[in-house]
Amino acid sequence: MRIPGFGILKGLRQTGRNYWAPKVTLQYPESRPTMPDRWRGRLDLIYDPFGEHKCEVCFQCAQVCPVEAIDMSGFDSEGRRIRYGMPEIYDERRDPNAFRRAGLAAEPMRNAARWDEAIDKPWLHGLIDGFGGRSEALVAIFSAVQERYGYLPERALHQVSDEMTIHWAQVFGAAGLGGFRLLPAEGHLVTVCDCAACRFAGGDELLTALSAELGIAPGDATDDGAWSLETSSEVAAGAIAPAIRIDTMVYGPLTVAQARHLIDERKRGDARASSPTRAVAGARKS
Amino acid sequence: MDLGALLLGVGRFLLSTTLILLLTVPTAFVVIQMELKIIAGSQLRYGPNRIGPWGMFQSTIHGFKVLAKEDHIPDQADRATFTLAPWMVYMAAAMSMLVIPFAPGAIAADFNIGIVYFFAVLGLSVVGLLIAGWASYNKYSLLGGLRSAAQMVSYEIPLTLSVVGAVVLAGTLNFRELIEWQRAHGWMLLWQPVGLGIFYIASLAEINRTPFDMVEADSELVAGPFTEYSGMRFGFFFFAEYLALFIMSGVMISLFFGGWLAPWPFPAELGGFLGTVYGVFWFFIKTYIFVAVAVLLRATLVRVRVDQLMGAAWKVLLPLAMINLLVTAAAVVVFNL
Amino acid sequence: MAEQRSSLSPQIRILPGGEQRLLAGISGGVDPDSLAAARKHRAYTGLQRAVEKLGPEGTVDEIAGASLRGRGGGGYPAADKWRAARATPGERKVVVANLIGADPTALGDRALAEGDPHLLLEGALIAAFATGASEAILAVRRDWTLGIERLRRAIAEAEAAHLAGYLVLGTDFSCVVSVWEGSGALVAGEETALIAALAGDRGMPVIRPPYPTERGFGGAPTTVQNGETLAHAAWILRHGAKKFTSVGSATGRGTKLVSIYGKVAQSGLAEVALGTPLSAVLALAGGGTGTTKAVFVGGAGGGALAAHELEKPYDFDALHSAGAGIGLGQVLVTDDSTCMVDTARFFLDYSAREACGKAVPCRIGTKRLVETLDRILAATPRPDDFNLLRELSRKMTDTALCHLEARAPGPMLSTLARFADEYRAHAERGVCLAGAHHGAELQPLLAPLPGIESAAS
Repeated sequence: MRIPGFGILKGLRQTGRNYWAPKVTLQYPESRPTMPDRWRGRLDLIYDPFGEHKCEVCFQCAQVCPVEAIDMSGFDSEGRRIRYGMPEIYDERRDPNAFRRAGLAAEPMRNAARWDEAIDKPWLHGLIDGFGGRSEALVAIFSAVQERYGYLPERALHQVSDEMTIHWAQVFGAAGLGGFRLLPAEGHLVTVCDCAACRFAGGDELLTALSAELGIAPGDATDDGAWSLETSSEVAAGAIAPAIRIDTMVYGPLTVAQARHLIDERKRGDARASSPTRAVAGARKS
Repeated sequence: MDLGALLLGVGRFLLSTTLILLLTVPTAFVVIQMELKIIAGSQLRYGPNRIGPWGMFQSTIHGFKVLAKEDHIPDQADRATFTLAPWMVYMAAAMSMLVIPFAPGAIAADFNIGIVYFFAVLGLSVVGLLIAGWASYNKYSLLGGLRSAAQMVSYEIPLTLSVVGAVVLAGTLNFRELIEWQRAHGWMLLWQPVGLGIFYIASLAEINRTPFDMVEADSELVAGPFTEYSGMRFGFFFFAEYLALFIMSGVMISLFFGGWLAPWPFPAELGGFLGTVYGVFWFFIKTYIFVAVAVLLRATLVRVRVDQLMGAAWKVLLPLAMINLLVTAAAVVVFNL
Repeated sequence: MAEQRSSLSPQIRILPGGEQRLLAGISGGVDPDSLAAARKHRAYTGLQRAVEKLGPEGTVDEIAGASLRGRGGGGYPAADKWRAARATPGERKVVVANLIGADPTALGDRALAEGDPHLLLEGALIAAFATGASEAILAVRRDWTLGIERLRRAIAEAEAAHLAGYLVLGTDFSCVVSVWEGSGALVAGEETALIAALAGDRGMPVIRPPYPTERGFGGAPTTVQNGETLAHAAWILRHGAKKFTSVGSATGRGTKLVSIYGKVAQSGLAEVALGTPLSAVLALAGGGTGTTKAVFVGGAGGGALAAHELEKPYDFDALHSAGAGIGLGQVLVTDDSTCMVDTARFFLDYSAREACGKAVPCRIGTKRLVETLDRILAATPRPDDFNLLRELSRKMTDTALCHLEARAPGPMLSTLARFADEYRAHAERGVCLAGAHHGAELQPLLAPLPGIESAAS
């Protein structure tokens, strides 16, 4: 027969008994539990049976961390030393391994060889020494490297990080914010200014026209690698809006026809046109 | 009355109220500590055992921690009522402590209508919770406050009705006299078992203890009406709740278990200073036994649903209390008690 | 020999008219390549007066008497900042002149660097003297090669003439001035981000307090001041506080260099007295071409003023209460054919792309706002999109890490308040009331990853 209240008494009896029973708590840190071999709760990297770290330095964790808390370096499965700091949030570069692991189709890297190109180490070493290896000079060093190569090669950044003993994350972070290119441009680089002044002076029409003229969208390069097109607000056109920059020369104010003419000039190989991508010392005018 | 007696009375009043107020905090600390350890024990774990020997000072440290927290008032909260609410709840508990009979001669305020005063003042905490919920400018707090008000108001009726039976038997509303009656006639629980049962259940509901604690059902309404409270304000609510547990247990044993009387009649009560000590000792033993039971109940029982809660109050306890009252009254008349 | 206006880069066009305090030096009155020529135009008389007559306290008092407010967008009283730096104990103090020119459409700082480098230099030295700094860094955008060249030459000449460097003017005041080339990100113009970049870090703002005047570059008390503010400070010391306050309004004294562009007859740089009605400012650029619809003051961190509000004074407080701001002096004029929603999206997109990524509400919020505007422009809004715009903006402003985040929704909110019917028309009917064609110009914020739908669909 079910008497109301007896269930409660039964429960009370159980808890009362528990009160006097030996306790099951393990007093950490005096006594530590033994964890099974395959336990995955530890915050350290684990080793495989051959004594190697299992981490493959795929950078997924560093890429996805929104507060850049992860900085890593290691050897990838091909034995190359790789470092990774702040994840790029501006979509400039994706390691194909990272894509694969994320289950996304890897985009074929354009000009992959160039991405890993060798740089003039002694020159860079001299450059860094010239600034006394001070971290305040980082931007100036980047400028000089970009002047020479047209972008910041990854190996150059590695060397900077090594020689100046600056955290890779710091180097990469400083490079990512400030108008430096991290990918080489192919062929002639046409930059259409999209600052407010240019845009309201007809810059968007220029962009459409040039995009049609070259047959590519902004951010792309032509198939033959002779031209790339991009937009940037740092062409700094000021009163000569709307302006474009071809390689290192800024032209403005331009009408659509004039812009097309400039492109044609170069296509025809006009001698007055400046050299592609790589800067000529002194010719750089903003 | 002459000046001397007046001054003595005032002095005595001040002393007793100060003592009462000073008593509230350590009492709350002890009850909290009991709660921590008993629930831990019944869950096969140790509970706090690092701070002080056997973790004795854990709840004290909790009190200090609560002092150190940021005192934050939500932007659009009603500042006046927001500040008032914890104060009201705490004062309701502290004021109701004034009439609790700790020992013969050790009652802070020996009213003739002590029992009525007690229940009246305890009802103030309903207002406190309600305005806490309303002033927080938070839907969850408001809901929590409303639920708590509904719960406490509906359980006050069977609570007070269950006591009326005892009052009718003893013929007095004075705590001291009721205990005197119990000394003469045996503990009230023998005379009013049903009343005791109803009182016990209703008191648990009145002070929002499990199984009736959905006011602050942590996993349901965040912290109910206390969601927006932080720091010492929340500390006040916290203290008031554990204080109320102590007070309710104290009142229950005073009404039904002989108050300060020893369990055996030799002697049940002493006179003079020793008598006060003897009485206080038994009072606290009995109270803390019931506090422990309430805590153990918290560890054991499942929380009831809000509709089950209200249903139990209105459909079970209230009729039972009324029947109890009817039978008691009839018995008094018939047996000329 | 008076140089022609063409000594400035072609990007800078000086408009005729308006005040001629700073412009007098810039627009050809002073040979930017010669110290001697500059001294003929009272260069360094201000520094002399400060060092020899006024002393550091006196200098700060002079600046306070002129009620000089920062010209970098914040409008914070310069004297208060200098006093705070003075009050912080420390052996080493630094002055940083913010010439990053974060917004490329603002030409004022660039014109100063190229046209009157000695004025800037003098201002930095005065600030250093007043705050007790022994180091002054001119943080210049690295694109301004001409300005950098001239500033370096000016520093060399000044040092040779004992006007900078050690033992200036024979007193024991020493201040080493250097030019630091910085990258041109928008956020690098924010003072704490600039200090981080100076140290070689990624230029991201930090939470304040502690303010740079307490702990700044290398832990030293740092006064970061906009270049134009320092130029005004030098002008004040040269000509006196009274003369400075002779133009301007009660809340904003003196002049400001404004860059006017957009649908005007002649875009360029002008100098206006604070308190001048906007219509007069526009008149300096030859007035608006077509029917002026709205004027966006303050760039991406400012706001829009409708055509009927053009009598409002160009002043810190007046514009701020109208939901806009002075910013770096940008004035963008739009006419009837400009779509307000599109313009708002443009500014928000700029803020989103320039976001440094540190503060979560900014990094994600600006992107979401752009996406919301894209949905509105594509006539596929969600039912609560307008509420979302306002709520999100409010959250960003309330919890902002830096003022760029707090002000980013400005253009959108001010156009939403004034041109709500345009937003409506786009959202509900997909019709542009300005008749502008949107189609192919809508560029998504980031190229969408393969396999993931773009948010603008």
